[in-house]
Amino acid sequence: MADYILGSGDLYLLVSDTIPETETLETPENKIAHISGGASLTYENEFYEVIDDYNAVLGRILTKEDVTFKSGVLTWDLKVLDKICSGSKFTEGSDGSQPDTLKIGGQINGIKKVVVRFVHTMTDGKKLRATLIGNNSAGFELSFAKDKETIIDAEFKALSQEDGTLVTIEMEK
Amino acid sequence: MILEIISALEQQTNIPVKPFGTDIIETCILYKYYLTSDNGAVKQYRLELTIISKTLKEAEEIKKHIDLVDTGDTPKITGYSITQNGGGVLQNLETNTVHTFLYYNVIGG
Repeated sequence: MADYILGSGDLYLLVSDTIPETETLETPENKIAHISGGASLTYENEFYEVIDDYNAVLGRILTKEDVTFKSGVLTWDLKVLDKICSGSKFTEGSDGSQPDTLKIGGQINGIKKVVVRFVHTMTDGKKLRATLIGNNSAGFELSFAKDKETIIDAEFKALSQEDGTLVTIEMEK
Repeated sequence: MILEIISALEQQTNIPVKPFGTDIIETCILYKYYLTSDNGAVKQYRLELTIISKTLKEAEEIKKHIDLVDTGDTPKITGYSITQNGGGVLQNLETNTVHTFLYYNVIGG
């Protein structure tokens, strides 16, 4: 029986162009520790309509589909930022004295594909999973305010997989 | 809902957690809660805690151990979203105790 869904979930990000098994994807290393403001998955489409002079719709053709995933990242470091940013290069400091470095920009031909998985746990403990492969499509903004925590809005637009799938949604029975 | 929160409070603070009031002078936490809204899918409760302590310093130490509030969207009590939105403090001169109030909004299904 269908039931209402309440609450947020966990976000996992992995730089990869294929979706791995759940055990490989849903690991502490891939999990964004804390997100804020929930998450949203948007499906949009465009149609071309064949309409005659009497305004009767004779046919409708699907011309475009878009899937976009959005969430707010509350706890982050440069590794997380590297996953969120399409054109970036992360270098880990070689020892304790060297800083970690993230270079953003100039990676126009090398934008990375990211596997995005959002896992919502329902009140009965069963999980709802949404998975897509995408690119960051809206950049990001880092704001440092004296009275507000820094939340990075992560937005990923889905890429078509081999069979044309943009996003897969699974619900445990 | 309340049993999970009380259990968490007892584990975190290691002092007695009692409803409404106490008839002895002791370091403890008193609680009361009530439903404030319900739309059929989402219930919101008000949880009011009172820390009874001998000193303000002791109250501050107890407060440090209370960890109920969500971090971002991550709940501390599974299935419930808890935010703190009020509080206060007063001294009871009759019993020579400090009463520290903590108010929470609890959202759950």
